[in-house]
Amino acid sequence: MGLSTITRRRFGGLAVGLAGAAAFPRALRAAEAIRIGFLGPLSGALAFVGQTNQNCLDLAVSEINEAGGIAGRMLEVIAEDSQMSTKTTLDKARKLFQSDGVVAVTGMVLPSEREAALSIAAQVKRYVLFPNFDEGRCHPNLICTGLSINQSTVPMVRWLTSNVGKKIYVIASDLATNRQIMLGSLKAELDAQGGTLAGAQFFPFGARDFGPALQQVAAANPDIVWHAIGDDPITFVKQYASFGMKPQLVTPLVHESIAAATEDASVGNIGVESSYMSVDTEANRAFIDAYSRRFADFTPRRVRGKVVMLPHGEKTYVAAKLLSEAIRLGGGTDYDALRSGFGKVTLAAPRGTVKVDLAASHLVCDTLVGKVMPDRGIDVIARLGAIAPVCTGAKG
Amino acid sequence: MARLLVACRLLFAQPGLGGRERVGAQIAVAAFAVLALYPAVGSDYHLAQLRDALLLAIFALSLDYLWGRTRMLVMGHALFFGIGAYGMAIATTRLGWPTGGGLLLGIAVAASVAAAVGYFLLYAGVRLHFFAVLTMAMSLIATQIAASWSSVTGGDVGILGVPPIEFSAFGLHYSGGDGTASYYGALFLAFLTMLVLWLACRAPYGLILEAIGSNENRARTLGFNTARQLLIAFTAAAALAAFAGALFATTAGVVAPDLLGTLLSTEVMIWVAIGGRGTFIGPLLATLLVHEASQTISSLSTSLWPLLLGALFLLIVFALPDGLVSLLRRRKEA
Repeated sequence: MGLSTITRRRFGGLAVGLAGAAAFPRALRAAEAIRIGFLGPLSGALAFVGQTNQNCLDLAVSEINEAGGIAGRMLEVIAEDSQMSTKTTLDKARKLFQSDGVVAVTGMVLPSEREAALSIAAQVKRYVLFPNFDEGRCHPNLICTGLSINQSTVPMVRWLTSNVGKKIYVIASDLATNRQIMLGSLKAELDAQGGTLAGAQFFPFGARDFGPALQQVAAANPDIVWHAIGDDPITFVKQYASFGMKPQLVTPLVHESIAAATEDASVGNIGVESSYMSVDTEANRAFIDAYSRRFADFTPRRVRGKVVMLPHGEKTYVAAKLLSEAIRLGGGTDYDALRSGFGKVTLAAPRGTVKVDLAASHLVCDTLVGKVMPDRGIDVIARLGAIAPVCTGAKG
Repeated sequence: MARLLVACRLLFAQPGLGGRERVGAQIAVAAFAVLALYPAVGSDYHLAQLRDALLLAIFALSLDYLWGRTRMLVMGHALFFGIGAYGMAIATTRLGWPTGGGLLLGIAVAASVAAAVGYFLLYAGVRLHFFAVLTMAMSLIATQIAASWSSVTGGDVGILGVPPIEFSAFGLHYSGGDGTASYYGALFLAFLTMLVLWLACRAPYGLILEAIGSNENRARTLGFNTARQLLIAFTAAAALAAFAGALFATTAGVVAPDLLGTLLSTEVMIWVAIGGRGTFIGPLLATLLVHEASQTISSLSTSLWPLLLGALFLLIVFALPDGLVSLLRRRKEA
């Protein structure tokens, strides 16, 4: 309706309507959908991860809506492609928060995407729910639904030194988080447990030839090789197997999708994660079944008869469920209501029971050691318990 | 000193306003007026988007100056934009400098890199696609350095918390944290940049660049030190790109390695090509239009947008090989 078409009569109607809206804001708002933003890589090298995240967000939101929404209000997803670019993530986060009015965004994969979304979220006082494991980043507007370094690397090193061996060699992508925080935490814990760091090598993104490095590793003769080649773990794992390397391969980058893509090369690899497809909880069976039914055509890859799931997907699903519980418990969608809601949530997530540690921007949940089986499924071989998250990355 | 002044006066002497130039100037004034009135109607979100687009337009102008006039294509121009952004971020967050110092640091580093690399390449006779590809390699190297040298650049996460520009002058206080103020700041700087480049390039100085661009051997035979002219232009374009990058860092608040990378380098070439090389007002307006169009189109469908956007660019290149500005030119000639 253009300004010129507003007649006196219409204006009267409009005024009555506005007065009504002012008088019954609660009733009016009950009809509006609560919007949640998806902002992840839907094109480029990480598109498969981003799409899995989007699928899981859609799944969680339709489950919440089928159960009657949140206090009668439906949830609605507005999706945007981050294009793996900082600038685009800034632009799209601004659109989602300021133009679409979403209460939170989730779905990011890269730390740079997380930071870009966070810089806008902090300006408008909203939440970013980051569905990936990370270096232990803390921020008042951030909740990470994956493990922080002190929940993954540190207990894993402790477990390895008493169960596998004490001499570790590190091969990782050349990232700030790997060089400083991951290696630093790993070495400190290794020293505390009486182990030794046999060596560490870092590769730039795009490196595809690990042969010379693997020869050096073989010469150093460690018990364990800890790998964190983030951009192409599949190539690394395949080369590791084809070189006939003896040391036990251990990594935080382990999931059924990699196991399926590397065929037999991953078998026997040990990983540390917060969730696997095989985690034995009722919520996880329901989640994996529902995902397999709904996204049967998404990928032909199957593990133990189910559509392959990434740990990022479970983290996005958990993020959406946590958000809806927080809105319900906090009684609103503004920052303060959400914060008090997050503080009260206890959720039966696929990975097990989770709570939010607001001060550390992470979840309190079990750390799981998994091992790749010959059928390419991953079995949980040890539970390291729920470790309180600690801020090891940047704060504020 | 006096000789230098005389040389400058000759080099930048302004000829009378031609017919085609008059149309361009009218468009520029009209565009400025529309943009100046925009805050009255635009939402906070659209204002912020347009402000970023105006800063990117300065970046596009820096490439247009080089590519449009001297025909020297830089495929890794985001390198200098990124250096400017990182210079600002490192100066303000790591060294505790004010934003003015950050601006100078970014520009100085970008200009030094351009001068050093340009000296060896341009005086050695590296031109055309060889030069273009080498600049692309430089931008890839810089991206890798930014991702790896974490103690300085913050690594893959980048640098957070770059403060907005604030200063007081003549009793007035400017705060880049304010949406409307920063919009007007960007609008003013984008049009000022365009005006300065336009005035410089319509003078004999622009003709020298034009001569080198159309036939370097002939220009050298006429007595111009072409390698030196190209080096000066390349360094100035790098400094201007860094200026845009440093300003962008203060409005975005974060910098990350992809600000140095291939995607942004490609986008800036698209903006200049669509606007019309060498026309200044064309690339400026094209940056605003294409930036807005890509925002809108990429929100239409998360799966189809690369296809839609690609098709649009192909269409424009086929229909208007000389850019949007050629629309006017053709109508005038018809």
